[in-house]
Amino acid sequence: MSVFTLFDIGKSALNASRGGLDVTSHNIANINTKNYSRQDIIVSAANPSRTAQGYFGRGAQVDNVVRHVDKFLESQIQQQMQSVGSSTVLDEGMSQLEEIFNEQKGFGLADRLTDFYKAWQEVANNPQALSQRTVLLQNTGRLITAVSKQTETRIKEVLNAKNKEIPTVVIQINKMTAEIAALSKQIVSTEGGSEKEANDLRDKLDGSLKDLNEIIGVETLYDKNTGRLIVNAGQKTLINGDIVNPVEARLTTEDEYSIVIDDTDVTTKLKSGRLAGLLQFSDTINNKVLKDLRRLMASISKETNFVHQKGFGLDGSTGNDFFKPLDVGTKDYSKGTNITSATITDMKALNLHEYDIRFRSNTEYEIFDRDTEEVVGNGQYVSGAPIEFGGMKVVIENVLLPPHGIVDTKTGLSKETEEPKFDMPKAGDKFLVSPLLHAVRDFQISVTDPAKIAASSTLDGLPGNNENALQVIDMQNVGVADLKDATFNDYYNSLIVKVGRLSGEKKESAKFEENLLHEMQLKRESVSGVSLDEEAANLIRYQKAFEAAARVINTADKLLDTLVNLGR
Amino acid sequence: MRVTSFVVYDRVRRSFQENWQRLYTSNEQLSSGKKVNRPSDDVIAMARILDYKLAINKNDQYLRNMDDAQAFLDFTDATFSTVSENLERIKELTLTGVTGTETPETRKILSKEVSVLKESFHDMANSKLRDRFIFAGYKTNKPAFDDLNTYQGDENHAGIYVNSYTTLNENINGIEGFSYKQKEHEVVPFKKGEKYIHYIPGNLIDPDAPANRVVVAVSTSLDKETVLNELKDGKLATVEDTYSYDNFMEMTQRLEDAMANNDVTRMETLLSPVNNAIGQVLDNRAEVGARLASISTEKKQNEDNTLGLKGVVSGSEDADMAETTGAISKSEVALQALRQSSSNVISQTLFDFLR
Repeated sequence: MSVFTLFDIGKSALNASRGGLDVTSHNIANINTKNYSRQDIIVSAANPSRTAQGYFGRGAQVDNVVRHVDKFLESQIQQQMQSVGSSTVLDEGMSQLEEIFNEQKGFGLADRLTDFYKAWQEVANNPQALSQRTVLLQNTGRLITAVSKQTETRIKEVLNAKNKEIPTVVIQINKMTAEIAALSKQIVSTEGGSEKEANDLRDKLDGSLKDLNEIIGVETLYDKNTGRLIVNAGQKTLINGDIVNPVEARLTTEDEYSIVIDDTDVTTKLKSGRLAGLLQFSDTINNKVLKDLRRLMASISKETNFVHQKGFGLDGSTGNDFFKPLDVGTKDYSKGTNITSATITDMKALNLHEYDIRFRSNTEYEIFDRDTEEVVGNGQYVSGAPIEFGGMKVVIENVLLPPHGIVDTKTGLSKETEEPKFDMPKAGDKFLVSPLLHAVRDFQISVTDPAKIAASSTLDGLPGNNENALQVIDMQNVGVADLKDATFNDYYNSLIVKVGRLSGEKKESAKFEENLLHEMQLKRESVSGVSLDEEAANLIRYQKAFEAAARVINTADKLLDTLVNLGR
Repeated sequence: MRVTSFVVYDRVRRSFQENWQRLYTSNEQLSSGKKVNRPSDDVIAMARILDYKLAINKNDQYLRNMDDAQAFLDFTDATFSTVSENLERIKELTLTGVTGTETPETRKILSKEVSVLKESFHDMANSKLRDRFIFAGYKTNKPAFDDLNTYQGDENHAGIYVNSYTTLNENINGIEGFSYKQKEHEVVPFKKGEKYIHYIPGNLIDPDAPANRVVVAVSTSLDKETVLNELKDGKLATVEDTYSYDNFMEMTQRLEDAMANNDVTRMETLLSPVNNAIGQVLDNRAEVGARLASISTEKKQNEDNTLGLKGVVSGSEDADMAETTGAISKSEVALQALRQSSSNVISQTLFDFLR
């Protein structure tokens, strides 16, 4: 034991207090830092020195700087971020969509549809007059504009805005995964296998993982042995230590994306996160909302034409279509073949369903009804031979491969192949065949001459016969088989209700997920958050300890002084 | 639970958000006057509102249809009213004409007036409402009767919807309106001696004759068969005089001719047809009246129905103004209180007390 020991103890006390002050100031400095976790120092008594008189303490030592983190809570929050990500984007999209169908503000389609039938009533009231017929043409024009130019265009605008986000989000994901991989590498090298954690870096990593989860739902795990970070998305590896697999967004058709990781299509495997929300939104719009709207218009066009064809115009003409007849639209999800023609052969057999022609092999195809989800036919594929089903006729042909040269082994010159080569369909190739796809886009009036509007049911009854007009009006009140026996108005109303319900559900679920996340964040805050009052108290505490330690050194100094002056 | 500075800030922030949102919702309701502002506000109410609005819209159109029909029927009735008056005048003139005190000269004067009335029948049968010849059946673009008083229309009726399931016929066609239909062979004893007047449906004599032709024959025979056979063969033994007419105009023409020719017998034979014509016009007016009455009942029902529906729609979508205004002032008071209390809570920490 010597006086100098006192200096050592005093020094260790100064160190410990200064460490406390350091951490406290760091906490105060980061009080508003996102993802920051409150830090604390772990101080323990230094190993005592053994003397004959007993064990004397040798001061304090700072063991570690730890962050207050509940790891389980962190992973819960990461999970919750996924749900928030997808539900938020669905809520945004649906509430935008809902505004389009907002009949309450009087811009809706229902009024235009009623006006259309009102105009027919007026024609029935005055079948011989041209002016009422002109009004009918105008109202029909307005119905068409309201549907195709406004409703469908605006739905597509909402859809496109969300679709455009997909590649942007994908770029963002790739940027983040690269950052995360770099960060995790930095952590590994900083910590160097020791048990001491690089607190601030780990906070940053946790934060980045939360951000990543918000846009793409991932599964995070750490390799038990090496501590390497592994991040999976859609059952494919995104990050494994240094290796980062980029995510790709591929445009399959004009308005559909598929998401590819490591050459595997994971589109349907992504369940949560903003990206999954965007994909879901696009699917809902295409397959529920747009399809219903198109089916309604296709049905109005089809049924009106049936009745209209039977009647006679003022000029004695008959068999005229009122609306431009429906046409078949196709979407090509294949590589080796093309649809060369798709036509409607029998309007009466057309049930306004959408079909997929799916290739099981390069010679066999089957026809899948998207609406009933049943296979309704199959056959042997012959290039160029018509495939007929549901009142439609489709011709699929092999694609001509671009001519490619073969090199003559003797001369070393290349020459053209003699026969053109054709590609073949491959198993999994798919075509969408739909009478609805362009139903709204091509929704047009066919009659331009008001005299050709067929209000009369007989040639003889011209011009006063209004029975055919009455027939058209009747359709307003009659259920249509293609619309599951709903009337036009009922079907439209159910579409609005559907959109309203979707919007309401998504709003609720976004709010619910948001609240849940908030609860978790509050919980996290109660574990990891910085309290100014606490830090102020700590500041005083460590300051006083520092002052006391200084006093110890001061005392030791005085003791030494006493000893030095002992000999005088 | 450990409460940190952030938790306090966050609570304050969220409370402000909640209050602002409540205020916004109330404000939106107040400014639009509606509590359902988008489908998701209340999906069920929205579906109901759409259904009822459609019904109201349809009712509006049925009301317009009925207004149209009412104008049409009023016009028809007015026309028939004049026809009726003119027929009464013709009856008077005929009665005057057959009295013995009249002379050929005065009868000629009477015939002049009858001629004017005949023209008026022709004009009225060709009445036009908004470019539509109202008595021409479906052939509304052509006058119902041409210059030779031949009917050019058809016997159709144009119907209009007065509600979603009932059609109402608008027009009375020219045959119903201006051609008396002799249903069966009638014989009336003629006061001078043993003579009889036969009123015969024209098609009994000539199958190709228009359905409304009436053949009048003065015969000494009471027997219908005898007279019919004579008329068919053209060999007139018992029949002293015969003529026919297809409609009011022709009937009046016969009367005019009889008066001009001082033919009292014919004038007398025409008395009964004139009476029949008056009866027929009355029947038609009764029919038009019945249609008008049904329109007015239907209109009343339609309006009641619309009013009821509007009430339901209003109940489903309209905001309760008093309630909304109340909610707004409540939110405002809450905001005010929140501002006051939070400014105290978040502005102070322990640091404020260190020196």
